[in-house]
Amino acid sequence: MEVFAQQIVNGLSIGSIYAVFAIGCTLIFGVLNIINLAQGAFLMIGACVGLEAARFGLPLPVTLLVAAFGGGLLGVLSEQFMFRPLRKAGGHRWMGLVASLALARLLVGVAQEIFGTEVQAYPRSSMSAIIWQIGGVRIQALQLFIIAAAVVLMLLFAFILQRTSLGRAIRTVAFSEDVARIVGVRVESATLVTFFIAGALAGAAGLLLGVLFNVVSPFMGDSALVKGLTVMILGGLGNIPGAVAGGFLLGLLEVFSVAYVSSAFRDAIGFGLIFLILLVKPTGLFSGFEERRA
Amino acid sequence: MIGLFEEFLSSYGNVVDLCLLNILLAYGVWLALSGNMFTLGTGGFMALGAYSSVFFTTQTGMPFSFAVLIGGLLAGGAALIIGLPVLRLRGDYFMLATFAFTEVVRVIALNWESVTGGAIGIVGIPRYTETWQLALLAIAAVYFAYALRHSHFGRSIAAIRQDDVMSQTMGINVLAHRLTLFGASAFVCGIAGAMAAHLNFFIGPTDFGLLRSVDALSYPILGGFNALLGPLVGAIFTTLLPEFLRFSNQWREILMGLLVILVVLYLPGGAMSLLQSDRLARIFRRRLIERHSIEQRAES
Amino acid sequence: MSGATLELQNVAKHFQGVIAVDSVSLVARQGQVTGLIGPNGSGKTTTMNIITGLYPADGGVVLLDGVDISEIQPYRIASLGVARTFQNIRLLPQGSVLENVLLGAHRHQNANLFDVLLRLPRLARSENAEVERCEQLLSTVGISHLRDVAVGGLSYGDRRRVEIARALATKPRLLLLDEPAAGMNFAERVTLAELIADIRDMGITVMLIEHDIEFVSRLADHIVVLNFGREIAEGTPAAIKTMPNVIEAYLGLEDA
Repeated sequence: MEVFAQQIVNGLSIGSIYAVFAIGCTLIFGVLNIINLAQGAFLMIGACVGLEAARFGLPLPVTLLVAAFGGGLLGVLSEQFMFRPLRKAGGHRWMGLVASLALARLLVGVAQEIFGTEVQAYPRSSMSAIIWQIGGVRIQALQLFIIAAAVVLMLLFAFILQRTSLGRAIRTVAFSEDVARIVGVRVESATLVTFFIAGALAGAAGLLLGVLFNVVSPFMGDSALVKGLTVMILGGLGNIPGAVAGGFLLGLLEVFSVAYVSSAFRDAIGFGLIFLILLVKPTGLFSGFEERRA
Repeated sequence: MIGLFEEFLSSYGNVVDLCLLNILLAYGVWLALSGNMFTLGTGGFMALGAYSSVFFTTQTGMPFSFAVLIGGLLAGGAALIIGLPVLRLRGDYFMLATFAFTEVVRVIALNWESVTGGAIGIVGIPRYTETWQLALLAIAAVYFAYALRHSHFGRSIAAIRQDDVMSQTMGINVLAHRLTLFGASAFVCGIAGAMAAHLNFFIGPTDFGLLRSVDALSYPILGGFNALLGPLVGAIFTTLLPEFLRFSNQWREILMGLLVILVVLYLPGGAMSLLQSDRLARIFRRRLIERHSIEQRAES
Repeated sequence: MSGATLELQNVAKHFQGVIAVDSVSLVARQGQVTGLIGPNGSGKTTTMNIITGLYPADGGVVLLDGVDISEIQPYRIASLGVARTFQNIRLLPQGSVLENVLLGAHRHQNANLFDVLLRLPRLARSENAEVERCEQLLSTVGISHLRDVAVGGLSYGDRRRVEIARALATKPRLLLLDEPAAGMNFAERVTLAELIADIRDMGITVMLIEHDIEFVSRLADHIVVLNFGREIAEGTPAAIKTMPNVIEAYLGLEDA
């Protein structure tokens, strides 16, 4: 039972990060109907920038903001100079995928050039030292911080999307770009904001991931991207509540498979799920929540 | 003359082998792309071909050619198994499934130590792959691509790529066509993987990851997907560029990324579209059409 | 070539609760031109998509010469001899006229993949035979002179003809035309009407979806009127025009 409770705590902390990251991926799909394969690289850059900020001596919550801003900035730049011109040119769907893969590659190279190719650790935070024992369950203050930060980010995101005029604009564009134009939504700024939010969520997730595992490397984006896409499929492409549920589900599944089966299966679990879902219910496990875009 | 050629091969042999191998891969990916399938499975299929062929040549003493063929067939078979359910879904799901497949293969390669050597990989693979074999395969790939394009199958595939709904109503079995293309694509990639394994002395799980799939995709797209020789040009260019410009690994990645983005943005037809003489003609024709429609509008 | 008889019995289709086709029953008799008319949104194109298998029907059956085809894949329905054109012309704009028409001949090619990859003599024989057949179809629809022109540059009327030639290249027994006269001027309509009559004279059953009741009346042996996803009237063109519910549902709207 104690092992079980411990795994729940571990699973929630990793799952909350997956959820934050996947929301960004699925948001872009939901709004613009494209898959941005550079989100993993945004996450990595967020982690690297956050690490620099931490070395500068900034407290953890501030580094989180720095990482989010870094990711968001990349998102905006990629939309302004890459995705939007591509959409304007009206090229094939592949071109966006190819370009986003190339962008990821470029960013990994840049990160290696600036931050070095080695795996780096975060400066020891006071929070990782604080550990509570509740029953037999060890809870790090850091884990609580991560879960809390993730939840705050998600609530903030939900607030922006549901309660602000900006969010309404984004949802209108997601419904139909043409309709948005007709009703006077400034589509260009709405897509830029969408990319900023998605990038910021990726950057923040990168910092949280780096802090949780105490590892930052230029290559962390690929495996994170895999997780993000897995969660996206779990929740259904473009389905935001689905991404949240899918993120926690994947985190828990991974942790439990390591605890009860074998660590080798941790990654295989996610991919096995992808295949299973594509076979059985391609609209995602949680497709009841929201109508998917046709 | 022959002496010169041998000298060239001895100093640039590796690069030539690499070019030929990548040409093979480029046409493998092209097959999938031509059926509108954005595949990230290339790395996985290569790994299947590589590991299985190495297993057969080193563990069972099977002749090299058979081992390569089996490697290709295994990859092709895997593609059919993935493709049958996934190809019924939208294109994005196909991309994601092939992506997941490559990762599954990588995870298996990491953990099935008795066959794959785990994270360390397999060292000391006999070098059976010869340059002439690679050249033969590359020539065969170009020839088959040519034959396919200049036939009713090529026409149907082009139609499927542009409008699969309409193609169905013309009596074309879209699913069967795409499944065949995907299987053939995986077969070619599997063979390329097997040849690569017996060329390099060593294989490990990192050789066949996502990056490999992305690289392979960039060949036909950089070279020009619509031109017969586009994948070839893209493969050679991409292989040679870093050899001539001796950059650090990081700068290679940065430049390749930048290059692909620029080509996608400013030259969506790929490098071959620069050479096509009808490019100008097409622009001219477009002008004519515009004038035509203006005249029509004036009439009505 | 002999035409096929098409019969729809209580065919229904809805999209996420919205009823597109409520219940349609009709017969398109062998060798005749059957008109399917109705105001916009009355379910004409949806009906055609159900017949060609693009939409699975939610209810009812589609019979082709008495055989139920409602559960069959679109490409199989096409190979049973059902060909169609699209309301929003669907051609490959970069391809030439001949290439587009040859697409319809796909399933009549004798050469298999093996012949293609090894370029065996059967490939050339098969291709030549189909090219010849398609060239004849081009002259049937009157666009022989445009054989090698890219489709993207053609006028609207000519593109319609390419689509009809492509449909004929599949050797259909039933040809479904979805608003073929839309956007055509008077002269183009006259030649199109002649072409459709020629196609009927070849023995092919024609089903003609149209908005324009006058155009259909000149051609059709039999007309079915749809409104709100149901057939509200059927009969000869002359009879249809006098029916009060048709005038109310359809002609009345036109006048308003």
